[in-house]
Amino acid sequence: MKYYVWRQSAGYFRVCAVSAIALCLAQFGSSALGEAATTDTDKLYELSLEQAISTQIVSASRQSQEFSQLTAPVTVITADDIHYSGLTTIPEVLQYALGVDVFATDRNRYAVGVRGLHDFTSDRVLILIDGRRAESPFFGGSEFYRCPIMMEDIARIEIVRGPGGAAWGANAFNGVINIITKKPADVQGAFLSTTVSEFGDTYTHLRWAELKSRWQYRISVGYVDRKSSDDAGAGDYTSFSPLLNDLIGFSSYTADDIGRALRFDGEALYLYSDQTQLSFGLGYSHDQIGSFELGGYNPRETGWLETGSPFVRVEHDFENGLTGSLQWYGNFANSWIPSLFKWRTYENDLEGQLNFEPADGHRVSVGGNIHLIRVNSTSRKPQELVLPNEPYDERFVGLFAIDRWEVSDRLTLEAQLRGDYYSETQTDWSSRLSALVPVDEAKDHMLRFSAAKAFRAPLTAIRQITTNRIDVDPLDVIIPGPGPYAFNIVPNDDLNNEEIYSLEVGYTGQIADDLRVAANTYYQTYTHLIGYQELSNPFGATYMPDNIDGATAYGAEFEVTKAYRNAHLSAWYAYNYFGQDKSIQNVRSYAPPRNSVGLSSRLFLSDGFVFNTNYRFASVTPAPGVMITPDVDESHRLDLTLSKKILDGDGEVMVGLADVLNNTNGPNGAMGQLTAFETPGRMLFARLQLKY
Amino acid sequence: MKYAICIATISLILAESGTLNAAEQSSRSDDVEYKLKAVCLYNFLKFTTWPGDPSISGDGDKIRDGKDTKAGTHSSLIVIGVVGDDSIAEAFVPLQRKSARDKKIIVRKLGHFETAQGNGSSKAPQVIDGNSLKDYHVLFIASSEKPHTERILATLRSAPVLTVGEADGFLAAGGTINFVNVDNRVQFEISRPSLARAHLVIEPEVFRLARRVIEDE
Repeated sequence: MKYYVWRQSAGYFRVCAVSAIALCLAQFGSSALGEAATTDTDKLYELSLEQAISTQIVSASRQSQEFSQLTAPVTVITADDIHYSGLTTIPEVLQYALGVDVFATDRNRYAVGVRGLHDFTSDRVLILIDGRRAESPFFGGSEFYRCPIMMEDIARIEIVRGPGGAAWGANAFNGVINIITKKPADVQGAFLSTTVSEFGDTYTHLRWAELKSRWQYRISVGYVDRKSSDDAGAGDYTSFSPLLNDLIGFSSYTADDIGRALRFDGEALYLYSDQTQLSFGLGYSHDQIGSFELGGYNPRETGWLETGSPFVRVEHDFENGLTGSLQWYGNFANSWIPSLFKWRTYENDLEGQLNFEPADGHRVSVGGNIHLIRVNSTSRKPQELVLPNEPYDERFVGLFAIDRWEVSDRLTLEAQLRGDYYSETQTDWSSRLSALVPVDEAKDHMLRFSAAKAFRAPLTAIRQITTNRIDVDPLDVIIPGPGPYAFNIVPNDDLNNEEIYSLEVGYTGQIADDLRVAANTYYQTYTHLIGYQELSNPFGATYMPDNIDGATAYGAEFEVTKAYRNAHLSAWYAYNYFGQDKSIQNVRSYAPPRNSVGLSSRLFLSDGFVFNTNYRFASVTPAPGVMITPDVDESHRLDLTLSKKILDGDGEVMVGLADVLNNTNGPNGAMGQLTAFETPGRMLFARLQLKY
Repeated sequence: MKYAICIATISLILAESGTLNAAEQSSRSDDVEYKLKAVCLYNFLKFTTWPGDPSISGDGDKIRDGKDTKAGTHSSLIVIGVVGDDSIAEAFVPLQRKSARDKKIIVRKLGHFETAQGNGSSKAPQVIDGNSLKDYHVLFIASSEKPHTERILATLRSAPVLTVGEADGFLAAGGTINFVNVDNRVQFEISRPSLARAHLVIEPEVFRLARRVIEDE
């Protein structure tokens, strides 16, 4: 008899907290295409076979126990949250998650941060796809617009708030965003989704997945076409430095922020034996984005980006409960952004991990990785960025160990320790120590105490870039050109890592079978934060990156989730204080909004209709220190969708109104921008999905 | 903040009103699990073809008594027998409100399987005659009946009965479909050889969703 049992690999690399996340998806969250959120008899018997096998068997105590076993505060965005939002970009979905701060600078570029410290180029959040790094190896920040992934291929997004410690890898500074993709066996068959907006934007996704004997595979292709803010009825430009308008040619600026992408994402798993599973895949994305102004330079040309992300992974069960995995992945990118320059990056990562139970009550993971980065560039025009002495070959080497110790039925301790060597700055370490204490015997109420430390190493873009921007002497009257310029950055290769230390106390409680509450408070101190110091220069502003000083942050986060028979409601509130040690200190990013609120509801109506609402409020987002760009105004955002199953559950139609409360948004600028423009607000869209 | 209050109020009103007309929600995860298994089984019926009409009497009591039934023409029925505790069988009863492939569904609670010998007492537990089980279109065999599974399946070896279980080794013993609990979800596995022996045909849609498929013995 031949049979094949697939390993429940979640496609990511970390145990302990991450494993618990996989088991504790909210009773109210599930796979896409509409799981019934309730245990109502009538509703259950209407489920299709696919829906029935996707529905979680809810056990109140088991769920609360799993969720409360996490040693860090975690927010989870489920596939249902993504599906019913109707949204087509990851940052738009992230903004409704507790702890994530997001604003758009144009239709392609977003500032994304966890507990603030966000900016288009900010490097304070570690971005992963299935545990593999997806951030820019050049500047360390997120580039969601070039991720080779389609929205309906996402099983969930896990957001760790606070230092990532040893569990997630080097540079998990203020938070971690891990995007987990769906496994082929969970989405078998053909799937088509197409979304059209009133502006003419389109988002099309075609997928085929199959499970066949020892193989399962998934292939997705997608095409995205986003119109410019001008074409979408927004695009009013604002100058933050009117005195420079003539120099930068401001009167001719138009909001040409188009976005087009062709994406491919494939993954295959092969069950070599009952003990060994192989998986491999390839993600590819070709993107075009419109030009934007930075430092007074706006070439008004469309740029392009190409990204290839292959991986190979082996997982094996040894004897006596020992399991292990070995993975190689690469990220290869070729980019030209007209406001910046042309550059190529090559990343290779080899990592291994072993999991075992050396003694009663102890679950241990050990592992390490080698991460190689190469950066090279081409500068054509004097205004473009320059990387002197390129190409750059850099490397990270890391080792980690995690021990989760069930001391007794009333106490669990977890220790994570990681050391990383970086060829360009220093060897550093990150860690998290946690204690989990059940308040009651049923473990429906849990307390968590944590202390954590992490670091952020400054990558090539921060240490090496030099740039000349606004030519203050275009006629070469003062000094023959090129230069001097009004906006310059000079490199500093003598930077130390940024450091963060955190203390946290958290509580999770299953108040009733269908009511869950979570609360978390934190205190964080930062040292050696890197900002841009203004140097004296008679001809204009010249900045140099430097470890200026530190900062302090503290806050509280509350979340409540309730399931009704035909509905799911959730609400959260976050208070975040951030204060630099020096009042005029530049920290290369925005601070978190002091107060933010999120509300979500999903109503399962009769006849297969589902009505979904998402709301978010954020108070003013401060721009600390001496920065060119101003604070981001207080904001409200409300999204509404109404969907209905058709074709006996093999299809779905949706209509939605995104950003109901705003005609336009902004203008919001990224750090270093002298200008910004409004982006479109309210948008009507429609979506059709079919599966076979 | 006024937007937040409005939205929260409206959502709460809509959610609360949705609870007023429905039956009381069960909080036991076991109840949910068996309801999901019943839903899966109902969906299997939609994709399964039997070899002509089975010799099922429209009178369920006659089946329970093990009396001979005439080979009938009751092709308008699908009869499901649930072997196991009555509380488990309750999860399948709502299927009687539904139909599959234009056939009305009947659910019979068969209780626990005992040997034909019983214990001689006039109050001996209800006995299920293995031969009478052949009269069912579908048999769901609860995990509590695992000690008797092999015997039941041996009796039904080539009968056109869709045998569905939820215990380890069910397919190896000759069962057709087996439920497994994986990551807090009900999943299922199918045996092609068992299907072939029973002369049943299940459409490919079901195989695509199976966690595993036994291709040969």
